[in-house]
Amino acid sequence: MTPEEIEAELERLHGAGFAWALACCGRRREDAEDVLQTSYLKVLDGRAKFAGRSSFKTFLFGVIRRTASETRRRNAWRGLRLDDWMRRKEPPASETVPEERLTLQAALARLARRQRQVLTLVFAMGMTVEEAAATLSISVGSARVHYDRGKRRLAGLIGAKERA
Amino acid sequence: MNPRDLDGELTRRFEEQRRADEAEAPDFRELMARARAAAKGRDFAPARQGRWARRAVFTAAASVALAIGLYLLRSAPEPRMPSNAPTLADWKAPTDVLLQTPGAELLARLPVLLSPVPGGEADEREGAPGAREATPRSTQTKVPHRKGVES
Repeated sequence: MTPEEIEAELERLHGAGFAWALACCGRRREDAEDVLQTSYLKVLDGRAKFAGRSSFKTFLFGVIRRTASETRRRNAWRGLRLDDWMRRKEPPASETVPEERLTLQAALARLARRQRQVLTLVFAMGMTVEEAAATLSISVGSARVHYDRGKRRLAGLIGAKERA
Repeated sequence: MNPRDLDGELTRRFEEQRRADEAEAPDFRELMARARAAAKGRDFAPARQGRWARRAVFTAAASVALAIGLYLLRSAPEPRMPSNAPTLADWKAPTDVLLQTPGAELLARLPVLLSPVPGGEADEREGAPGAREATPRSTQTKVPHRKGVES
């Protein structure tokens, strides 16, 4: 792919990429923007090369996931500064968010990370379980297990929350 | 809720969430401009050279550690023979003393046969026929018959 084609693809997937970055960064907007910017840099300067083995969307989402993981690990090594910690402890602005979305976010936050990622890729991004497995660099069998268990647990959590 | 309804409900909620997230996404051009500015501000070549330099340093350190390990393994002190140790030919088993039994010297040398005694057993063996008959009767032992022993 030429750089122009890559940039056009990035622009086409920008919204979904940001939503995926938010999901990978625990819904912290600043972190998601940094991760997305770093991911674009990696793709543009060739540190992440699209080999054409999967769709560009799968490739880009994999780069975003790996970049988010690197950022998380780096932060864990460096130790979180107090202002970061305070920022992370701030609850999201919930007054403008509908109740149904808050319920979904709270239920997703209680799932295991892999389950949350597989469900987001399948239900929000419209991927198949196989594509989700390729994005997360895990086997299809593992992705199916995460999908089944996560879906059951999520349904239980949402149902319990709405009954309460 | 049956599985199909559950899938539909989850899809609806997730898509609603995704649309809300996409609406909050930063402007693509702006983000790309920031990314390019960051790329210009940071020369990637040194970063890559730095990565290679780190790898080279790590490889060199690992090689040195391996060489030191091998040297220490090879130069371990070999067991040396003490100067007053007996050679293999001189060595004797410590239990040899148990083989020294009384009369063992008889087994260690050949027996010596003495010359025959004249008129002794040798003459008798060499065959003087009737030599036994030549013995006087008076010297023969006569067993007295005792009465009542047989009945």
